[in-house]
Amino acid sequence: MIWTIAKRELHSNIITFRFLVSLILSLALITASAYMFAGDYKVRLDKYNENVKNNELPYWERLGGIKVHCQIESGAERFPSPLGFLSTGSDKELGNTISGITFKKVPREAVGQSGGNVLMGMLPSLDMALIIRVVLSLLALLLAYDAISGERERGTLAVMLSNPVPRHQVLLGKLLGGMISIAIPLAAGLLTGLLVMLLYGSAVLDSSAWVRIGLVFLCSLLYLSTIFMMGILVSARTRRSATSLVILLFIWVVLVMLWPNMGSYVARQTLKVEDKSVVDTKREALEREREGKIEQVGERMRRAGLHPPDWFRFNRRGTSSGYSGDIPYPGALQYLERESMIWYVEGIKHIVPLKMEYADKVWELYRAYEEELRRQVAFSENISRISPAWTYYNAISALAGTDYGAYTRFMNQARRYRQQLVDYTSSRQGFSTRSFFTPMKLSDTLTYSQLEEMQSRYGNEAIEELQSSYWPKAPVLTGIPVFRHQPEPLTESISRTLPDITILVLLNIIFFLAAYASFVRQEVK
Amino acid sequence: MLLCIIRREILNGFLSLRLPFTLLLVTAVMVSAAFLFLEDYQQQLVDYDRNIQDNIQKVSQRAKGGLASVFSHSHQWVYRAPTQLAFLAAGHEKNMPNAFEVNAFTIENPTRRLRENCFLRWSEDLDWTFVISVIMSFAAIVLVYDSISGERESGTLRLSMSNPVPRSTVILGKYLGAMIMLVIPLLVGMLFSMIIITTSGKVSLAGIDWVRILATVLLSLLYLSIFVLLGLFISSLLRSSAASLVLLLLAWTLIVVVIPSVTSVIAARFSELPSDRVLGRIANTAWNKARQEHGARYPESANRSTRVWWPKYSLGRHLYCSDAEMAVYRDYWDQMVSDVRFGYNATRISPCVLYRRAAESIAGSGIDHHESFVKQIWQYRASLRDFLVSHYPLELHKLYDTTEELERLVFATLSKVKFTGADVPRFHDDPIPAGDAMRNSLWDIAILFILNFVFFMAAYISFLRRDVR
Repeated sequence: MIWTIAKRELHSNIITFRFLVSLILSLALITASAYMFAGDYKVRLDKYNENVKNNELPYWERLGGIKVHCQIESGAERFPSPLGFLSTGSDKELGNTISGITFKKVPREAVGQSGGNVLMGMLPSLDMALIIRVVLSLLALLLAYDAISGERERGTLAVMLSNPVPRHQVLLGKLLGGMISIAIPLAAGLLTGLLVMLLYGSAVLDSSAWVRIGLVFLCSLLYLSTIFMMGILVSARTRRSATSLVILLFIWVVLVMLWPNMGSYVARQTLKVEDKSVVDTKREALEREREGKIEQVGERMRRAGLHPPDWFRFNRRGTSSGYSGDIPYPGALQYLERESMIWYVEGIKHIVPLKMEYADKVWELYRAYEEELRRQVAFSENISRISPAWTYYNAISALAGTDYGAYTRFMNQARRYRQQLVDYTSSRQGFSTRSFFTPMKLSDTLTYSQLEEMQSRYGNEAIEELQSSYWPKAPVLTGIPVFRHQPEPLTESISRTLPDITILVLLNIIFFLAAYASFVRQEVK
Repeated sequence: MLLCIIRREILNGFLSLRLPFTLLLVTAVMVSAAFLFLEDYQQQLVDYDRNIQDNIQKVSQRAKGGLASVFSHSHQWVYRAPTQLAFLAAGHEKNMPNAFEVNAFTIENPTRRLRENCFLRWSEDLDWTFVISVIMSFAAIVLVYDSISGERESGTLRLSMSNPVPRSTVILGKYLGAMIMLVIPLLVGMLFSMIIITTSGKVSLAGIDWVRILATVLLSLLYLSIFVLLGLFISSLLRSSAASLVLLLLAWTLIVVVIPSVTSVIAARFSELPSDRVLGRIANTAWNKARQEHGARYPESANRSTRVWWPKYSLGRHLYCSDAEMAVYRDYWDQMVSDVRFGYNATRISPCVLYRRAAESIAGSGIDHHESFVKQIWQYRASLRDFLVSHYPLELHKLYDTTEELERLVFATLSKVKFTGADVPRFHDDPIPAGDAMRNSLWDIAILFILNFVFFMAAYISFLRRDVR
C-alpha cells in the first residue's frame, strides 16, 4: 500500500513544473560549478606540485646541496582536496602553504589564499553544497507544502482515507514518494558533476573519495528529507496550502539564509578573541627579549677572552656582525679564520637553545590565541547547528576535507614535521658542533695573522681558492625528512561527522513523529 | 479607485500572514543587527585608538635616537579606520587587510590585524544591505507571486475588471500596494535600528551622513521594486500561481544566491596575479636594475629583510631603488583590486550585486574603502620621504660605508639631528568624502533605474495583453 501511494506521489511530482525547473536548474548549476572547480583545481594542483618540488630542492642551490645544518629550511604544502567541488568549505580563506620551517620558528599559520588575492577571501563561492542547500531544499519545500493541505483542499484526501489504509502508511508513502522525487535531481546533479570532473581529468578520486561521495549523497538526502518532513508537518497543521507555503518559506529563509550569520555574530560577541595586533606586539616583545639575551651571550664570550669575527679586516661586504643578531650563515667563515670558528662553535651552544626556547615561547603565545579562535569557531558551529542547513554543511565540509578541522590537522602535521627536522639535526649533534655552519675542520682554518700574511703575499684570490678547496662539492647532509601532507583518514572524518549526521537523523525522526501526530488528529474534510 | 485597490492589496497581505511575518522578521533582525553593530563598532574604535597610540609612542621613543633609528629599518604599522556607516553596508571589510607596514622606503605586509577570527565562517555581514537584499527581496517575491495569477484562479480578477477600471490603474494599484507593504517593515526596521544606533551615543552622525542614510533607503526601495515588478510580470504571464512562485523562486535564487557567488570564481579565473615567488623575483630584478642605473657594482641578494637602509648607505640610491621596487608592488595591489572589480562587473547582471555595490559605495566601505586606504598610505610614504630628505644632513648620493671611521661619523652626525615624535608625519585614514561616495554609486543606481523601467514596462504590457478569464 505504501508503495502505491509513493508511486502516485512520484508520478504527480515528476510531471509538475517545479520538478522540471529544479531538475534543470540543479543540473545546470552543478555542471557549471563542477566545471569551474575542475579548472581551478588544476591550477591549484600545479601550484601544489611546484611547491612540493621546491621544498624538496636543496635550499641553497648554488652551494650544490645541503652542506651544513643551518641550511636546513623546508616548507609544507597542503594537498588540495579533490572533493572541494562538494563543498569549498573554508578552503579559500585558509592558507595551504607554509614556508621557512626551521628550528627557529614553530609554524603558526599557512598562507596563500585563493590565488594570492587577499581581497578575494571575502567573496562566497559556488559549490554543490550551496546548490543543494538552497535550490534543492526549496524543491523539497515546494513538494511538501501542499502534500496534505493541498490534498485536503482538492478533496482527494477524504477519498484516499475512505479506503482501508492506515494513516501512518499514507504518511510514509508520501515521504517515500517525495524523497524519491528529490533524490532524482540530486543524484543526477551529483553524477553529472562527477562526470564533468572526471572528464576534465584534473582530479584523481581514490576508493576513500568514493566512499566520501557516497556519504555526502546520504547526508544530502538526510538534509533534504529533514526539510521535506518539516514541510509535511506544517502542511498537516495548516488548513490552507497557501498559508502553509508562506509559513514554510519564512522558516526556510531564516534557517538557510539568515541563521549562520547570526551564529557567527553571536559567537563573536559572546566569546571575544584578542586583537591580533596585541598578540603580535607580545611576540615582538619576546623577540626583543631574545635578542637581548643573545647579546649578553656575546658579551660573556668576549669577557671570557674569545674574539668575535673582525668584519673589517678583510674589507668584506658581509652584514652579519658578531652575535648581535643572527647565528652564522653558511659560508660565514669565508676567510677561514680560526678565531671566528672558535667563537661561532662556542656561540651556537648558547644561541641555538635560546632560539629554540623562544620559538616555543612564541608558539605558546599563538597557541593560546589559536585556542581562543578554536573555541569561538566551535561555539559558532554549535549555534549554527540549530539550522539543519548548517548541520548539513558542517558534515559535508568535514567529509570533503575542506573544513577548519582538516586545516588544523594539516597545521599539526607541519608542526610535527618541524620537530622531525629538529630531531634530524640534534641526532647528528648539528646544534652543538661546527657542522651547524661549516663543513670545514678546525685544522683547516688559519689564524688572523696567518691569513694576513697570506693575503699580503698571494692576494685575496689565493685565500678564496684555498677556501673553496675545503668546501665539498657534493651534498653532505642526506636523508633530510621531507613533508608529505597526509589527508585525514576516512574513519576519522566519519567519526567527526557522526554528531552532525545524528542530529539530522534525530530531526527527521522528530519531524516525522510530529507530522504523524498532527496528521492522525487531523480532520480530513 | 487606485486607493481602493491599494487598500485591498494591503489588507490581503495582512490577512495572509505575509505582511506580519515580514514585519516581525525584518524588525527582529534589524534590531539585533543594530545592537551587534554597536558592540562591534565600539570594540573596533577602542582597538583602533590603542593601535594608533601604540604607534605614536613607538615613533616618539625612536625619535630620541635621531634620524637613523626612526627611518633605518623600523617600520610603522598603519591601520584602516573602522567605517562609521558600516551598519548600512559593511562591505566584507573584516576579510580585507586592515594594516600595512610602512616606512619612508617600503610599504609591505598587508595583514589583517583585527579582533577577528579568520577561521570563523563568514557568509555575509549582518547589515542593512544583507537584510534588504536577501530577506526583504524574498519577502517581496512571496508577497506578489500570486498577485495576478492568484486573483485569476479565484476569479476575482474578472470581477474587478468588469468594473470601469483601466488596467493601468489595476497594475499600478497592485504595484503600489506591494511597495507599501514592503515599505512598512523596511521603515519600521530602519527606524528601530536608527533609534538604537543614535541613542547609544557611540556613533556621531553628521548632516551629510543622514543624506547617505536617506540615499540608502531610496536605493533599497529601488532594489525591492525590481522584485515586485518581476513578480507582477511573471504572475501575469503564467496561468497558475504555483508555477509563478516556482519561476520567481528560481529567479530569486539566481539573482541573490548564485550570481553573487560566481564573482570570486570569475575574478580568480581571469586573474593574472603572479605568485609570491614570481612577484619577489620581479621586485628583486627591478631593485637591482635601479641599483645598477645608480652606479652600484654588485646586485643585492633577493632577501628583502636584509635590504634595509643603514645610514652608511647612500640615501639617494636607496630611495631610488625602493621606488623601483615599490612600483612592482603597487601594480600588484592595483591588480588585486581590479581583479575584484572585474568579478563585480561580470556579475552586475544581478540587481543584487548592483544594489550591494551601490550601498557599499554610499557607505564608503568595502573595496572603495580599501582603495582609498591604500592611496592614503602612498601619500603617507611620500610625506615620510620628504621628512627624511629635508632632515638628512649629509650628501644624498654619497656612500658612507667605505671605512669604519666614516661609518661611525655618519651615525654620530645623524644622531645629532634632533626632532620629537610629534614632528614625524602621522597617518590617518580619512573616510571617503560623501560627494565621492555618492559619485561612485551613480552608475549602479542608474542601471537599477533602467532595470526598474524595463520590468515595469514588461509587467504592464503582459498585463495589458492578458486574458482575464
